[in-house]
Amino acid sequence: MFPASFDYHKPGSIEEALELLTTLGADVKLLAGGHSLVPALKLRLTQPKHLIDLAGIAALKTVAVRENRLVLGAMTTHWQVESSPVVKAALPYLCEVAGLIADPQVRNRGTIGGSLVNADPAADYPASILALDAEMVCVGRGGRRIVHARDWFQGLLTAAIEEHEILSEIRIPLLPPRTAATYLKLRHPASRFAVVGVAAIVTVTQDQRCAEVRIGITGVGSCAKRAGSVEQQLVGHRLDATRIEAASAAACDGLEIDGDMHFSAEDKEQLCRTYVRRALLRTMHLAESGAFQPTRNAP
Amino acid sequence: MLGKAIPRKEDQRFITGAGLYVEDVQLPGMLYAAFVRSAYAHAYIRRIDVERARNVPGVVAVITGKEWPELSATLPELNGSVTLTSPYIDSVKVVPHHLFPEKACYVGEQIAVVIAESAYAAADGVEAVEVEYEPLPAVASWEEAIKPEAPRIHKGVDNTVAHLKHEVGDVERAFRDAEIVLEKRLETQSLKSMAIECRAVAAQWEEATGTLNVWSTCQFHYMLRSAIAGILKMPAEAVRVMARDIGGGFGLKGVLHAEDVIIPLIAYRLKRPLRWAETRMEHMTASNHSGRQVHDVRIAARRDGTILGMDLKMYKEVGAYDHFDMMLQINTINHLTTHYKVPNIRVEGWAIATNTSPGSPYRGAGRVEAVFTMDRVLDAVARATGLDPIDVRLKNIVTPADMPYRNGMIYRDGVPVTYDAIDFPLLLERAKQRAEYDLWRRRQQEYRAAGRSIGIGISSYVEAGGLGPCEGATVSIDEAGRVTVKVGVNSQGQSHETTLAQICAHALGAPIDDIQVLGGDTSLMNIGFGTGASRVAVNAGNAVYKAAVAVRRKVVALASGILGCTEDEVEIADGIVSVAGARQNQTTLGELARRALRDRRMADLGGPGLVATEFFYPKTVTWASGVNIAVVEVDRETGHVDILKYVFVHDCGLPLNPMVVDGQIRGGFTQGLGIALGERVVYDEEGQVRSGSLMDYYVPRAVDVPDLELDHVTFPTPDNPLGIKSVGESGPNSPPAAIAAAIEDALGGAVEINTLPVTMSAILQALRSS
Repeated sequence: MFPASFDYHKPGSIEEALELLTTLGADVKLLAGGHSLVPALKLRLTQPKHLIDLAGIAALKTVAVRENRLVLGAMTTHWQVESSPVVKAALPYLCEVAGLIADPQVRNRGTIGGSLVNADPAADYPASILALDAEMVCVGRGGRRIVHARDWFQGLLTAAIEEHEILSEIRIPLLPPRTAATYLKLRHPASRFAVVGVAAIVTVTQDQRCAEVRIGITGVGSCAKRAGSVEQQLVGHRLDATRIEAASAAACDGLEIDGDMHFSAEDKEQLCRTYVRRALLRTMHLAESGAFQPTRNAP
Repeated sequence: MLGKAIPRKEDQRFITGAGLYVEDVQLPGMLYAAFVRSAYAHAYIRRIDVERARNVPGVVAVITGKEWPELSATLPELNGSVTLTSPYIDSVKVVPHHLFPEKACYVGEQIAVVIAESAYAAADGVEAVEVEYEPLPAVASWEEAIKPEAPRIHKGVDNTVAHLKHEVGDVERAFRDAEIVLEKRLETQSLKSMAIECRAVAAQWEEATGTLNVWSTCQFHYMLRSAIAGILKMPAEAVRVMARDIGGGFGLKGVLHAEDVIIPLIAYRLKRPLRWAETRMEHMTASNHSGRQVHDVRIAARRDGTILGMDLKMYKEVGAYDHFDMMLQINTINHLTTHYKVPNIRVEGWAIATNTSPGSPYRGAGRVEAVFTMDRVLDAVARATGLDPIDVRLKNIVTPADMPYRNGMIYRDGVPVTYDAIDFPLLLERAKQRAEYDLWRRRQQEYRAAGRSIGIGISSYVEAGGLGPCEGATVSIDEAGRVTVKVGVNSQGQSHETTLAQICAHALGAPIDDIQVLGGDTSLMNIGFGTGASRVAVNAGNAVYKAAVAVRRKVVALASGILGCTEDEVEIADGIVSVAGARQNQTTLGELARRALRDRRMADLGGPGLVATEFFYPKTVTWASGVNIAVVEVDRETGHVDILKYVFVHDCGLPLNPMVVDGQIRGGFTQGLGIALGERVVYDEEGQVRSGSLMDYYVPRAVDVPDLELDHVTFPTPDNPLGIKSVGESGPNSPPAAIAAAIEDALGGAVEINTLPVTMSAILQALRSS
């Protein structure tokens, strides 16, 4: 599988990249790891004239905590998230999520920014980005723009980024005290993408009532979505198995679920409800045990 | 040395990246090929516009089949180690398979080939070729293809291209006598070999020696030599086919594909080295697949579980070109009864062409379908009678007292199927013990009470291997005492360089480190066949043994003269040749080899040098066998299957190297696991491939493979000097049947599982509808 020919550019700064992006014309793709783009190039599904590799821009590789937020440069690889001491101290949940993406080869090159801009309907990060209520910082020649997670995923392979913008960083609010988080994923038997992936984040009161909950679902629809109907049924309540089971029945509300050659729409709906229920049960287990976030040690 | 688990001699080369695969062949002035392939499953090629492609930078030529007369050639009708005699087949229609067809009969069929200075330029050229098609209605399944109004895949030829039948005993009477009659439709899917190395071929015309050198991934490289030499009207020995390091075969490479022939023909004409390597995309869409197979089976039984008879109708999709007549169905029939007595059997089979890529064997080659049928039948009888599946098996099992046992089938070498010196009840008992069967039956009840769904499945297989006609080997010793073993067969990863060296070391008394095994090159052995049908250990292994024994005889004769002793007194160990008892009187294999060049005594020993060539002709196939027991847990909410325990008890005669045998079983098991849970080539109604990438085609990964409990039981065969049987195709046969049975059992008998693979979706759907 051989891509059509293209010109390769490797800018050293965001400014330089933006300059290239505006001067090279419309036929440009940004390379941010390449685990979706390079296969598409090799299959000649896309044949851009220019490829701008963002790997040389140090400013896109920040991993830091600022103003009670975890700030991840868009070019942070999945492995860096999985293994970073900064992430591990600030938001161990995200280490766990990154470690569940694909395989080590992909995690070594794939980046969080690449994944979020590509907005693959079965990618892992989007569910968590929604549940974490993250913000995406997009830079263009006109300046910077902040997009909230709930506005980011707009449809199949479509994110709220403009043609001449670059996603520079992802800002993730650190979890408030007494907040538990789980990402649960059913791997596709062939691709190992998420058939369904559910991120559930719950803040509990001292008497174990749900003060706040955000659930992100990836895999089953055309893009990742919040499970608003489920969330509504949980806030203010004590989340026992019965309450969770009842609320999870609404897991597919607002999702347009189509069948494919592996799973029928009915299968996916059942799996979606099951995974929302299980993710919530596990989250509550973490809350009740006092652990709140997964404590898996990065390999 | 024989039977020892020594590390593989070839590993150093492979692990350090020093292997020579076709894509490693790099010659000065080399050109690269890429194929233009049909976008339609069925379409006339009305026009091929190559002008734009010829102008693409780097493109040297665009070949559409009209350039030279030899490009109008057809592929040989039958492939590889095919049916030698067809006792069951009563009709077969072979359609000419052109290298460049006027009408495409499947998606991905080759239409033209672009030759360029780089693989990139060749791919650019392919994109610039414009093909005008006249699409025709296509049929992609046998159910559609047998309809009277179905479009014909080949003009004037019925889509049912072959038919067979065979009957043992009196089936009608068995059904009259039956207390229980069961009917089932069983379905198994088409599979891709999915070798890590896709297909490839490189060729170079060597003017100085008048040799066409060909590097190929073909499992049967002599067949390729014959085809090329035949088309070019060259002596066979002017075509040298090298197929030494190959990254997996599994049957798909045991076939001649059009590209294998086209590339050498073009290299010969252009007088420039030329290479083509299949992309994974081409492998997924255009390369052969094994073909769906559907069985309609009726069983006659008594209430005590005794099977009286079986009536089986078999429908097989063979793709657009059937190069194997009904070999796969014949394999199914000949392996059908596995360890059990079915006194009355009637089989009828149809090979049905479809607008898909051609069918060819996939590891197991019809055996998975046989085993799945027999075990599903035994389990159905268990359900109908209320007996434990083990008891139904014991009721019908062939015992040592029945040996030699004939089930009424005729193997494809024309010899009646005969089991001898095998203890099937022992294999079953061993598996039952290793699986802790009774314990798991108790646990199953306990877990069920706790809401967990545990199931146990049992499967038995037989594996005929070592199919002839023969293979040869040459063993020689050089003046330094180094031994070279040359064989005709090649390797796709089977460890021949180790196991055949072990045989030679054992027979000759030479140190294993001094023995090199060379194969996969038609210039090494003028006559050979190839690797497939689990035939190398028996055929080539015994040929190596015979050749090493012949060399040993020369060593002994020469040494007795030189050392002044009788032949009986000559001892050979670790390369040292000595006189029994007299330790000071000794020489070495190397010294004897040096003297054998000029010593006149060699005139009576077949000529100079310590060298001998021998061929081994097996009487018929050998019968390996085994029993598998699977314990699984099914997640009823997701359909996920977790294998809690898997026991694989098997006999392959004397293991040449137990580590290699383990590897064969584990690899084969893994392919069986894929067949059980997800592997499936899917075509839509138009003949487009839906399983076109590894995003959609399931292949088990390392993390999916459970720990196996392997148990080797050895029943040596008296049919060859080494007492060995085959093992290559043992692995995949039983896992699909055992795992399917375990899933059915876990679901409490609420649903019958009659279709492979048993996907998560299939389980969810079955549970919803039950």
